[in-house]
Amino acid sequence: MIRIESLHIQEFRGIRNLKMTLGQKPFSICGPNGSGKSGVIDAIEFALTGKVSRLSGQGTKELSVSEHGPHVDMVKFPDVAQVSLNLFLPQLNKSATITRMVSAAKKPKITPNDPDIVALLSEVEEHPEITLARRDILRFILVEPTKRSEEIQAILNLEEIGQTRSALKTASNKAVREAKQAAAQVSSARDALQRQLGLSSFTVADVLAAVNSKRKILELPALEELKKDTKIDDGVKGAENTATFNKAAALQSVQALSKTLDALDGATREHIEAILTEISKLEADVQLLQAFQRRSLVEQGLELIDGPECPLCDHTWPDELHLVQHLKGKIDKSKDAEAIQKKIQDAASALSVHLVPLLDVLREIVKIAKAENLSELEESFLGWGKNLSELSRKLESVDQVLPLKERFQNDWSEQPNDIESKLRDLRVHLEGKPDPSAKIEAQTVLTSGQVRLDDYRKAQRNNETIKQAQSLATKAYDLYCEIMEKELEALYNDVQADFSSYYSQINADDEGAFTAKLAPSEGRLDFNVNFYGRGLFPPGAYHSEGHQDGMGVCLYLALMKRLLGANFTLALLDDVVMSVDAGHRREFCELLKTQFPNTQFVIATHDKLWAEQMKTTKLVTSKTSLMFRSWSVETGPVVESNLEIWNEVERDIEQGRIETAAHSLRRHLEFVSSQLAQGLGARPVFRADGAYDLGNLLPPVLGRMKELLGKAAAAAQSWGNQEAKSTASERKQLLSRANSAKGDEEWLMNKAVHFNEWANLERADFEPVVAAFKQLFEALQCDACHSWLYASPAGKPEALRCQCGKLNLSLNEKMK
Amino acid sequence: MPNLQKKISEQFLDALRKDNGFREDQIEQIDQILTSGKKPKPDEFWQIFCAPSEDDAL
Repeated sequence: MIRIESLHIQEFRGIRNLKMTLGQKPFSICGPNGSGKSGVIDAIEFALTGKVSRLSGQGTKELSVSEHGPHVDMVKFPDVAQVSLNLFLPQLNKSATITRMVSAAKKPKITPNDPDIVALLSEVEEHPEITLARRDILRFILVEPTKRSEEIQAILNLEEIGQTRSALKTASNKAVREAKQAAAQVSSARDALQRQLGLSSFTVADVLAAVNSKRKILELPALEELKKDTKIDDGVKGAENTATFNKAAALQSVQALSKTLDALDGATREHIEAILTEISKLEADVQLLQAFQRRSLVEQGLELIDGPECPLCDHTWPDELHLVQHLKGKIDKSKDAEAIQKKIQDAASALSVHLVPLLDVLREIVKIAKAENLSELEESFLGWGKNLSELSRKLESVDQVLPLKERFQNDWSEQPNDIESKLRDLRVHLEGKPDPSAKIEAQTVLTSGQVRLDDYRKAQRNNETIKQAQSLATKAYDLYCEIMEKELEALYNDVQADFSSYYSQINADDEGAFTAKLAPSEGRLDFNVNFYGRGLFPPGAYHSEGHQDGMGVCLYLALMKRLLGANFTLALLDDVVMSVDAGHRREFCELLKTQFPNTQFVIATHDKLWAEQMKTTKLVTSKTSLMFRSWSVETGPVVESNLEIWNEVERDIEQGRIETAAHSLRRHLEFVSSQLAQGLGARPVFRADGAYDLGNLLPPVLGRMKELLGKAAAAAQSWGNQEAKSTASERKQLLSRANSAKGDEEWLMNKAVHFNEWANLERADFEPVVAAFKQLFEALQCDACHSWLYASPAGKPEALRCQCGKLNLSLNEKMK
Repeated sequence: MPNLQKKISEQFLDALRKDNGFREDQIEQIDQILTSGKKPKPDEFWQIFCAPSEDDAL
């Protein structure tokens, strides 16, 4: 994807103005807590994604990049807060610059504005996981399996796969409910047709016999078969104008409604009780009820998500993924509520199926009442029908079932008053009607029968369609799950193998045969690791905090390798191995170097030892590392190993800023002296408070260097190595000359060393001081790689060396 | 993981094509849902499964 050539941070977070050259190489930033190193990581993340992880997630609701991205003194001037990165894009073999301002975080300026560069940087924007902080490690290691599954699925961007599976599953569940409804509609339509034709059983022969008996009365040809398009009223004159009233069918409809009502209570009691039981559970537990209510709301919110704005409260999240995870977290907390929701949904759906035949027969009764001008009856049954239709609609949504508790506790079907007497009166009314002539009756049976037959055929077609759709929905869901599980299993196997390999490499001394097992199952990702051959256990069971940190980073690296493959070219690691001990950190450097040679790691750490280890293992060099000594709100991070220090000091002097130049020089010299004292093994007078200044450090450093160069010259003499002897002697002379030059300015230097009075000097007085120190410190570094000379190994040194190896003087004399 | 999503989607569509139950127009619509970059909705799938064939002159 990308590598960083250089960066420029202005008024962003705790940084005022900072330029860094990374040279597309791994880079370390070391400094004590609060020195601003994480601000660099934040700035890079912001430039690439427009977001800052530490300002998002749990507990950061009040924080935002727009308000808290600018330096605290520049909050009212967000236009000046910006980060600029010069990048190399290996995939395109192109360079580009991206500049992002806090005031326009969503609109970075990209130069050149080539479509392929813009597209690639847009892709990078979708990968916030290039930043790993220690808090992220806990997301993988010390979490419950369901949460881990979500976190790892999120880092692998598996969200979309899960969404597709979930949508197919919901469609499949819907198919089951729809199929039950469709089957009920067929049954109901068949009953209506039977009533119309006066049939007690329903076979093709029965239907043909009933139809042909009527057709014979009308002197119409008999139908020999009943096909899909057969019209039983074919040939009936004026069929469309024939009265639809069929006395016998009407009486049967009245009887059907009576029977349905008699059976209704028994058929639905089980479902009503199930609904009431679940509602009682909710009412007995306020928290459960709240979880239930939130669940429904949150589920609706999840459905409506389309971007980083929450559809429920309008809060803007860093991105859509954060929002989805937040809402899913809420849903996960209400598993018991989910079980209740499912039971209510199933019971309501079953109840709804029983309403289908009731509503169908009610429609027939309303038609009869209307045809007979029984307006009061018509109005009563029409109103009831509407009531039941509305109830049926409400039963589709669990939310709308809860308020129906009182209705379910009483007469939930809300039958009209005196329904039995009304039906009895209707029956009497119908029985009192004169029997129609045989011809009229035959006409009515055939024309009304045709209408019922059409309804039946329609219901059947719908049922077939639904059955077919249900089959497809189930098949599609099963196929998707099968393919997804196969691919995820392969993915997790790869991740598991890489993770085990990386962790073994770091812990080769004591856990070289380490193994791990990632086991995905429905919504979970179990993660167990081998503990010294004693079996597989959760990472937090026996392993130390340091080992867990190591596991977190290894798992992260394994995941990133699978996520980005060859495009894993940049990772920002913010203090991620703070609990790993020194020996294992060295191996970690080797791991990064050997397994990820094409990845530019930008590593922030507060641990000076690890920063040194990164150099000694050649993961970084002195050119690709930076030390922050301190930080203040006014200045931002104070950078110590600044190769440009002499140019900056000269520039400040030229511009008359002696105070600034003096401050920078003093800071630099103190820092370098402390590095040299450590590297050479110099012995300053011990200070319990550790507050060594230049006066404490420089004399023992110079003394130690002279001592080592003297030893090197003697050793070379003993071995007859003239070249080494010359090198040591020349270096010693160079140091003496420089120290002598320093001596010429000693009165001024002492002021600086002991009283820090440089700031009050005039330019003419200060320039010789700068020149003298520059000459002195050049004598303490390699002229090729510019690293500070150091004695190796520490304690009992055998050589005086530089980082690149150009200077490598043995200190061991030949045995006499 | 865009590559994994793509791989699963392609295999899924292949499996649907090999199954006689799914029509070409249904597979095409499912393909559109999977490649739209939008969150798939259950009802979108359901409507596709329920959609009658154009040849079905009911």
